[in-house]
Amino acid sequence: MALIIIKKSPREEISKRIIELAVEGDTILFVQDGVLYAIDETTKEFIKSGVSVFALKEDLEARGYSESLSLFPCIDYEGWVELIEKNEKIIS
Amino acid sequence: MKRVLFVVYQSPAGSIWVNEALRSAFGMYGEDLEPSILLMEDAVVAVNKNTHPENLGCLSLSMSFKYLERYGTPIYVVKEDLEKRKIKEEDVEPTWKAKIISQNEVSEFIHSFDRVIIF
Repeated sequence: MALIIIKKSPREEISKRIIELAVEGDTILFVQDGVLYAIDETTKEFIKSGVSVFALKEDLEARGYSESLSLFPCIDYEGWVELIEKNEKIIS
Repeated sequence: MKRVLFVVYQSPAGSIWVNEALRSAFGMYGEDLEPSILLMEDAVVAVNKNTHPENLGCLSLSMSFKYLERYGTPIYVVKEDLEKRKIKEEDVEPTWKAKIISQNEVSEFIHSFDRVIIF
């Protein structure tokens, strides 16, 4: 069970490759320019079932997007800390 | 002992990250940590014996070789990324002692580490 933190935008191929490495039980958190995945309908096509996905609200709002536009639940910094504590492994 | 993996994906000719991963890994031997390095995408050109970033004024890769030999830091390279960049096994600089893994092994491989840091 790993927390996978995606910081790079969908323009950078590496970020999609890292998302595709997630397996059932893992959690993906989109932060920084990675939040652009949270507003992109195609993101759901390559996330495996059983993987939980969140976006960092502050980073969405800083880029001009409201929480309501996110296709995944949003969390704040406290929620991020909780995810770090909850997950045994971190891929960042 | 915690196992730490550094993943590098940017070319050593134009970015510092291959050398930074090596430097970070070597610094870990004084701690209770076991580092490894995985090269993906453009970073795989680092293992080509004909790659010389120093020709562009970047850091040379060979400056780390004596430490690589001393510590035996495991270096992994993704096969499909090598193939995409036309790097054959015989082109690989032997000092790296690079272990070549397939893209379909990468997920399980990455999950076998306690911490993964992507540069």
